[in-house]
Amino acid sequence: MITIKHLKKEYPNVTPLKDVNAHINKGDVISIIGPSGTGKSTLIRCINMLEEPTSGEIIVDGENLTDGGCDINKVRQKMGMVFQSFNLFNHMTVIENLMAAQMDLRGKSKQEAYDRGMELLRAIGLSEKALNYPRQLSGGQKQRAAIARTLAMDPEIILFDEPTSALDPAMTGEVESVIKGLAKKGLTMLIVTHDMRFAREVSNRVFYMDQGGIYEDGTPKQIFEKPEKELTRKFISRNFSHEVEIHSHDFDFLGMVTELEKFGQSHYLSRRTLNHMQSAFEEMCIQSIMPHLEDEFNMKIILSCLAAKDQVEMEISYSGKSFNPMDSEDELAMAILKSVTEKIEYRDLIKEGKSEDESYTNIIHLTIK
Amino acid sequence: MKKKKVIESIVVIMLITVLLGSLPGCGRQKNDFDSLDDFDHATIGLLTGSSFAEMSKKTFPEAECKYYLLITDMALSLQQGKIDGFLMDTSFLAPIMWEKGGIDYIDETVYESSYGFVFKKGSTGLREEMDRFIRAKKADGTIEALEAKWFGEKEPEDDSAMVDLTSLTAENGTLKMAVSTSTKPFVCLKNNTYTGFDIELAAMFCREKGFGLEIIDMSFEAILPGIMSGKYDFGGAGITMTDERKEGIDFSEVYHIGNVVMAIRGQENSGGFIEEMKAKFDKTFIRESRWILLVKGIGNTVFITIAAAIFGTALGFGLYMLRRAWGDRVARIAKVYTKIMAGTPIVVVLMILFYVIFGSSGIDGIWVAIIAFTLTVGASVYNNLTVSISGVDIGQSEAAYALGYNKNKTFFKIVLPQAMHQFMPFYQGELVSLIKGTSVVGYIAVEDLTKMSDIIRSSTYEAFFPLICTALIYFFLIWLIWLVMGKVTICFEPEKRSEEKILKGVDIK
Amino acid sequence: MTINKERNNGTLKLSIEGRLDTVTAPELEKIVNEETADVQELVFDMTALEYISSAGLRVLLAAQKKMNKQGSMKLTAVCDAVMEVFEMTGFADILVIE
Repeated sequence: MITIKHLKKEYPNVTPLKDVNAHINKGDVISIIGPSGTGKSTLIRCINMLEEPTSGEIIVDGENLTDGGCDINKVRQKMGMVFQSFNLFNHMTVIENLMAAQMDLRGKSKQEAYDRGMELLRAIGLSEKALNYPRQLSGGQKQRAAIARTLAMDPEIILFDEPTSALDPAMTGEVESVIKGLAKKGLTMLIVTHDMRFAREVSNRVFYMDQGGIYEDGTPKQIFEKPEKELTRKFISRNFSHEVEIHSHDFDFLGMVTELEKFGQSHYLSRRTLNHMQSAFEEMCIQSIMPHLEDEFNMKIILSCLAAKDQVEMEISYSGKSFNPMDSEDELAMAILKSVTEKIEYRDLIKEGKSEDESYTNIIHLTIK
Repeated sequence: MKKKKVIESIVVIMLITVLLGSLPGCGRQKNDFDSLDDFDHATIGLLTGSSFAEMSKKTFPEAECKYYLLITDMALSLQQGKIDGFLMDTSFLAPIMWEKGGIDYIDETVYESSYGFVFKKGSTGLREEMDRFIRAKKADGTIEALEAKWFGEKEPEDDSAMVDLTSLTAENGTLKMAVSTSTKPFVCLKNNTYTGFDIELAAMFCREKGFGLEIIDMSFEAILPGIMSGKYDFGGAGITMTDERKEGIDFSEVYHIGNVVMAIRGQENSGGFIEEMKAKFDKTFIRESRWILLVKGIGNTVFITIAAAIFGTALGFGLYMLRRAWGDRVARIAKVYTKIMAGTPIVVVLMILFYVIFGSSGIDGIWVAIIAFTLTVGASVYNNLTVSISGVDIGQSEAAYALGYNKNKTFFKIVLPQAMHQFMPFYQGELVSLIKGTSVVGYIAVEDLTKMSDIIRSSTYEAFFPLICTALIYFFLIWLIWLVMGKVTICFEPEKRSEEKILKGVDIK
Repeated sequence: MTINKERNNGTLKLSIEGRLDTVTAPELEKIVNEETADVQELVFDMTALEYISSAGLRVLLAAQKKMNKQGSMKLTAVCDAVMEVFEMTGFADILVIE
């Protein structure tokens, strides 16, 4: 369906794409991942010629786009694009956004365009907003409408340029589920994303981009679980951690909850994992450990997760006498803790030869599901 | 509701201005200046560009100076106590005396000034003929009689004051005479036709020599440049001979020698406030059908504004379209053009077009004004169109391209409609400043509203009604622009459309 | 967390919005203690409840015990995340959930 040969894109100061080669089959859903600045967006912008390639060939359905004689506007009509910043036409209502191209480019009647537009809006649950203007929509609604606008042209290929990056985390879900729905329908899609979890769920192929090209190409399982090449491995197994400290019983509980939430969202953890992490924190630290601590104490929580895994490690170090919180008689808290974790390990540092005066004398390590 | 408010505010403005208008009478103090010696440290008025101004500075070097463009304004300032006196030829003061305008003078000649017609430097034939003519008329007493008539204590009666130019035979061609109606009694309007000492003398000359006479009115400062550029055959507007002027132009034989004196506040004719207002109103609008001047002025102002708005908008849009088609070359030229227009005062643009570029062509001033304002409006329409269009997010056109729109469709369907939304408020402001800007066309002898109000002031020595009336007319015209543009702007606000309009022709199931 | 109260004869409906955790649980506990004396049916509308911790569970348990004596209690519209906690702790079997 799409063949890319020796694609090169040069800017005066930087060359994001040095030599890109790929063949994309009909029905492929490809996630394009990789560090920032590796030309992921440039690649898909080149595919529909929003960026003019410096050299190389892009062949879509047998038509060579880089050939001067090609009518790029015709090709673009069957190759939709969804932008990070939505780019709905601000001077039109939602329904007009969906109707405009059908009428202007496909020569459909106003009635036909309207019917098709409403059908699409109903499918994504936005028919109520048909006569609203883009500025009256939330980010998630805008992006859904933008996807519908693309679908109104009945494209065979859709290019997604970080479709959820500009959204409030609470709204990524609605957009992701629309894209997943499209994937099931057999559309050919290329999705640039930072969200590994989403990439894994939606695609049948993953391009890892680095060093000016497609560095590794494989199934999600292969790329995320046993990448063959070194840079991919490094990228996938990047470890993110975050450390917080608590020193008094009157600490800012709400602030702490917000911090956990932020950590989870910025690393694309699923809602479920995020909830488990919060349960673990509350049942372990607040319910089980803190009641046993003095007025003033030291407690340190280190959260860490891997780039491509929906899993968190939580390590809690605290001061005071040796005390294993898992011995607690709080059945409710224990039941929750056991359910949300895979593994809980306690270490008594005093037993291991540290003195009682040190900042941290106990460590408990939780692996959260 | 809205109209009512506007009318209300106009009424309030009227009331306030009428009240303010009655104030100057109250603020007047006793005149302490009754001999020339008192003026060494006084505040004196100077007429910009006049020979009196230069002499005043030489005679009273220590005095504080205030500059005026019209004798009328200076006389009014004197009455109101803003200045203590001004040097002026008694011949210019005569009409003020006729009107009992509250001006007196110290009867002591400061110096004498000589008057003559002006010709282009180095001209011979016509000027020499004029010299011989003046010498002859001096000799036979005609000029003395004219002096008595125009500079006397009483205004000449209507019948004797009218000069009939239509009866000139013009077998030897028609002469173009540059004048300024701000120089009563040398040149003035009576019953909306030109007359005055200079006009009558020039007409006599033409009758004798077989010329027709076309009179072109302009502001006084514009006469000399006009003569130098060769636009007019000669000029006459009570022009005094000075060495400096002689460097640029040639004077005819002296036709009048006047006594320059110091004008001071005098006793004003007093009547009741209402009667005074009535008299002023009558003088400004009714007498000699002066309202016709205002109507003509409004006509010219509106014509220039509408023509320049249409052509200027077309120019600005056209230039932008050319730039889209031909790219950077046009952009560079357009940049130079808009920079020049932005960096040059409109008065200067007008003068350059009128005296330099179209200097010797016979093109009418009103068309020069339209060209000048077209250029100005075109430049700012182009500039603001550029800004408005570049203000539309690039993502909007990318989205259109990605759907398969070509360049033109993207521009006209997606980008331009959004840019117009930003452009319209500016455009409305541009039209308002255009109509206000046209008030300077008097510099190139176009009789617009402001110029007409100046003419009325110069012949009536009355400032209040002409100025207030002019202000109100401008306000009304601008209000009309707001009204019309408000309606037009709505067409460019997609969000103001009704649902019915958006879905017109669609069957909603 | 915000709690909306709605009284209708002997029925008290409490709509809980946000998080029911260590900090917010006492607030609900207070309402349950003070306002249920003459209530025959206590309904918790959990539509907008996003999260519950063991502290919140305890309050629900206490309320259930109280209502067992004087009438009935039920929970409506429980979201997946909260339901999961009910299931982990066996509350799903103790409480009446619609």
